Amino acid sequence: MSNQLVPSVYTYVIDEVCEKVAPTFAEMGVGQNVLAELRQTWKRKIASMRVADFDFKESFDDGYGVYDGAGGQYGTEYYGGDHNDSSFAAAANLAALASGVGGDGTAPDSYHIPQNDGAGDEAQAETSKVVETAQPSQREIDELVQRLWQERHRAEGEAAEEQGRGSLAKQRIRQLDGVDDDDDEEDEDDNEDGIGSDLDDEDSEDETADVSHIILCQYEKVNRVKNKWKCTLKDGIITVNGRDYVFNKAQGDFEW
Amino acid sequence: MAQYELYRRSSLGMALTDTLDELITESHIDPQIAMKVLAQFDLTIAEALHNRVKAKAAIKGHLHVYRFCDDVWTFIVDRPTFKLEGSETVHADRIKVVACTARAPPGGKPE
Repeated sequence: MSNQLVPSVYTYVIDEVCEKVAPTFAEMGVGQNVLAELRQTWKRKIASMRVADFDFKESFDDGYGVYDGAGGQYGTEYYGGDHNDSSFAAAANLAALASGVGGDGTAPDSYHIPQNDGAGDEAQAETSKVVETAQPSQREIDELVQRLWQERHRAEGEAAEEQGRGSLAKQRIRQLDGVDDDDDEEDEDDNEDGIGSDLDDEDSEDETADVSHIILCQYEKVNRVKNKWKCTLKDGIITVNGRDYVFNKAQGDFEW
Repeated sequence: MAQYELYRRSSLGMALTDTLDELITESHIDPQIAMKVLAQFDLTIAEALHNRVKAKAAIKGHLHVYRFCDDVWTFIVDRPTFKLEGSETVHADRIKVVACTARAPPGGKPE
């Protein structure tokens, strides 16, 4: 298991893949400059993940400059504010949608709408608030979207209720009761091994586990004696604590 | 040599798929080419790990979850310790191990 090896192995893989696909690019009539772009961007991205100390960091700094000039939308925009802006536009759309569906004046708090159109900000009473949140964090946006979503749902629910009102109302309620009862029982049955069961919980634990610490490899042997597990693993990549390690062979000894 | 899509989940694979996504979004390449690049990546990464890496590792820990499905072992190991070459050790809270069989890989010859 080695972290020192990572840069050389990864560089080899990047160069080898680019070399091997060059004929394909030519066949499909894609310019070699696109392939060069692929190689540069790939290297830049892996270096920015900081999973190891890549020596091509400096060498491609030049390329990065050229690239940034030509491509424009790479780099900063990808990681930077534009992403927020677009999320924001989406949030505003949602706001419009919510007020549209609601239609009864339960417009969402107005402070996120002026944020979007920029120019009119000064006229608004909430200007100070707007300025403060001019560059909203991802979390703020998430909260905003969630709130708008809930508002929209509520609005839709009200609309549906209104439709259902009148002569059909009683019948509707009765129907709902019936279905609900069935659902409850079914849910209990499903919970034995379906979604939301204990088994499913294990899965969701997996998901939290694989966020940043993962070993991707192949196994030769997996043996168990009582609660002792022995695994012979090979050709693996370990990502742990933000660093990558590679191994040719690994012995895993686990207790269950 | 085994050929798995498994390694696409690695940081190097994610960096590649990200890059390909960008190129597709900007219409520099079409998805067909991206698939070919990824297929080549599957081959090359497996070959590189097999032939260009000699390092060995020892992993110990408490096995929290084990699963064997479709020839893939999945382990979730609590408080694993990794022994690197040369007495250095690495610790973590929890790690997930995903292992495909080295024996009779799909789409490749058994070794």
